[in-house]
Amino acid sequence: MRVSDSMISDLARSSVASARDRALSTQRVASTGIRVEKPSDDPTAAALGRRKTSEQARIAAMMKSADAGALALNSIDDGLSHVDDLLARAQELAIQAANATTSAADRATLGAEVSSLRDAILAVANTQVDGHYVMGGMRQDAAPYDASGAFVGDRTAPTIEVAPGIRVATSVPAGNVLSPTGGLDVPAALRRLTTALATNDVVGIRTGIDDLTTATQQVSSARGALGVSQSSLQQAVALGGRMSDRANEVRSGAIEADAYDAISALTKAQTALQQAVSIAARLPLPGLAQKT
Amino acid sequence: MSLFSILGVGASGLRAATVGVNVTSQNATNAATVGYSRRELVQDPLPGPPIGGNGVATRGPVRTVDRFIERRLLGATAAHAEADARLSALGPLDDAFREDAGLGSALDAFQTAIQQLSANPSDGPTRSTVLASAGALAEAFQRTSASISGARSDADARIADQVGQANGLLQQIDSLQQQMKKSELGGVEASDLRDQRDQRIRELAKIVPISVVDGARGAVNVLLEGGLGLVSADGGAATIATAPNATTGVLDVTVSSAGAPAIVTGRIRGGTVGGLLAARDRVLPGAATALDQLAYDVATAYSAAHAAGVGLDGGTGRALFSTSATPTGAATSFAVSIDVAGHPERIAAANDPTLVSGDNRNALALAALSGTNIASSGTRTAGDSLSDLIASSGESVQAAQRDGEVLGAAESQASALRASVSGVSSDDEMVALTQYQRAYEASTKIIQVADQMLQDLIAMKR
Repeated sequence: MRVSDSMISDLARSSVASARDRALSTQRVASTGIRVEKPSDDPTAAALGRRKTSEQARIAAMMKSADAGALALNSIDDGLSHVDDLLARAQELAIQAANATTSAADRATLGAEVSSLRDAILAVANTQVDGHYVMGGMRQDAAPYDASGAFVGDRTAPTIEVAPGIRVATSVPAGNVLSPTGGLDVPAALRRLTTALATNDVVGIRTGIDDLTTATQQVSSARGALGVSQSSLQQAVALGGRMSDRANEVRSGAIEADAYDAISALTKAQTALQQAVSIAARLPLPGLAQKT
Repeated sequence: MSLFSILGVGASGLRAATVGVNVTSQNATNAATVGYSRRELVQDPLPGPPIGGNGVATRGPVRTVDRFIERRLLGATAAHAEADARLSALGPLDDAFREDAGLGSALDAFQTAIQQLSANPSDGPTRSTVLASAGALAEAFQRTSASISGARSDADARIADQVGQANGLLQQIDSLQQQMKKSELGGVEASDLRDQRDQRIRELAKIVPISVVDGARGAVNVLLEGGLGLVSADGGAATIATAPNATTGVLDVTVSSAGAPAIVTGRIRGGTVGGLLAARDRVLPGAATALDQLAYDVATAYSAAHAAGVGLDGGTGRALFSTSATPTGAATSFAVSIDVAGHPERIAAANDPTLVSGDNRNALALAALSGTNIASSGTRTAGDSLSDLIASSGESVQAAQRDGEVLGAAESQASALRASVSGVSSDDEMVALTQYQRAYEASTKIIQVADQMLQDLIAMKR
């Protein structure tokens, strides 16, 4: 092929332009660490990166909910633990009162203490955190037990989504523990025990002891279910952390640049640019005219 | 054969060498002139009976042009310009779907806020965050839609500008052809005018796809790809212009010569105008339609789920978002519903109006939508649909880049072929210069020898 002056200069121009473009893009990648800034850099990777970023955001939100749920459950567990202690104390008092050597006056005194224990249990059931009745089921703006100790709350435990499609209860409605449907109404049982103690009703006191055993079982059962929820939340948080790490790994692999590759590509591109410029500067133009 | 005729032979050599040096000088000085075609001086021996000849005759100078290569270059130029223009017109689309452009992160933030609402259904700040993130999502949809429609408007404006330039080139090509004819009829060689005309034709091919058909006396007919005449070899040029389309509102390209303007928008598939039209009428509307569909699907699904719930104020049946009645224009009109805007307490997180303080069941239903196939006719989640849109937009831009690289190489190759035939090589010209210099010296010597012989002859008689 015959080679004209414009072929030489055009080739030099396009070579330098191409090398400069390549150097600029590799410099951008090396300096930012991002291989895919725009969808056109790698459409598949950009879409994958978006999906994984979204997945991470969703997991982070679920983990945040799970953390909040775990805190609420811990608080309720503390409360139920206290209720357990209070019931144990009431049982001790009832057993002491049931003893034949205990006088009517002593029983009346014990009855007063049992009454205060009942108030303490109701206070736990009506615990507020940030203005919300945490054991109020889905009605959190009103105390689950009224002043008389009657259950007036909601029995539905709120749940949160801790993983796609998996929901875990974040509360134990007080009514389901202390006044379960078909179970023992603990405040009412304590009131009956208080009355039996005040009236020196030994049969009533013995019934009260049995009721307290049932009440303790109800609380233990609720704490067991609560423990399952706590465990589920912990597992969800741990699983979410792993899923988030995995999503981040995939996202990084899709859109971020390998540091070694980026620097290596930059070095190559800069060398190519220097060579292209150097060659352009030594072009054999305007040919034989230099010799004549 | 007389001695005087030998003087004539030498004189013809001097003339030929002089013209040769002139042609070579013209070539050498125009080595960097864009569109210049190398000239060649054709020399023929002048026969003369009975022995030898009458020296040398010259023809030309002749432009060294390969019509096949020239036409191949026109096609390659139009194809490369199409890809380049398409790429530049699609730049805003690429930017609109960058990760940092906000639509993806706005969708994530909204879905995260809904998720948080399910954990704290009556919490005031959480409800405010839901409303704020819903507003940010609306802005992101509107902004992305505006970027795409802005790109279409820019393409439209550039089409008008390019068509204006093309029209000017048509007039120039016609004018140059008329000047060529006049010059050549007057016996004046018109290579420079032909070069200028061919350069204008190449510039025209960069704007619209054309073909060239030879006419009489070196003139050419320039046709729009598909056969519509733009410049006639016999004289006359059509007018290429733009006119608003009454239905679509964008510009149509029209060509008019004698009759009414013909709309040629659909026939222009090459050149800068072809690339701009492809971006404006095919790629960008496709992206806008997909974005509108996504906005419509998101607004419809979240509003329907929200309407099924109850706010803290006990109100129900309220949409979360408002948008157009159909997917068309949904992204532009996407907004937080006036039923809930500015009223966080109206966010419907509950199902039971008597339990609004702690009932998060509707918030959970809303949160579940992030993993539900609410988009693309119930086949994709909103996030997946956005990812699909990002991928398809990126592929459109990447295709334009790839086409630009491939077609740019093809144009470079065609251009190199043309330069190989029509370009000036300084080396060749320097060699030719030396050749003509030596030929001139030889002719001078012939005249000197003939002169000496005549002198010798005259001296014999004395």
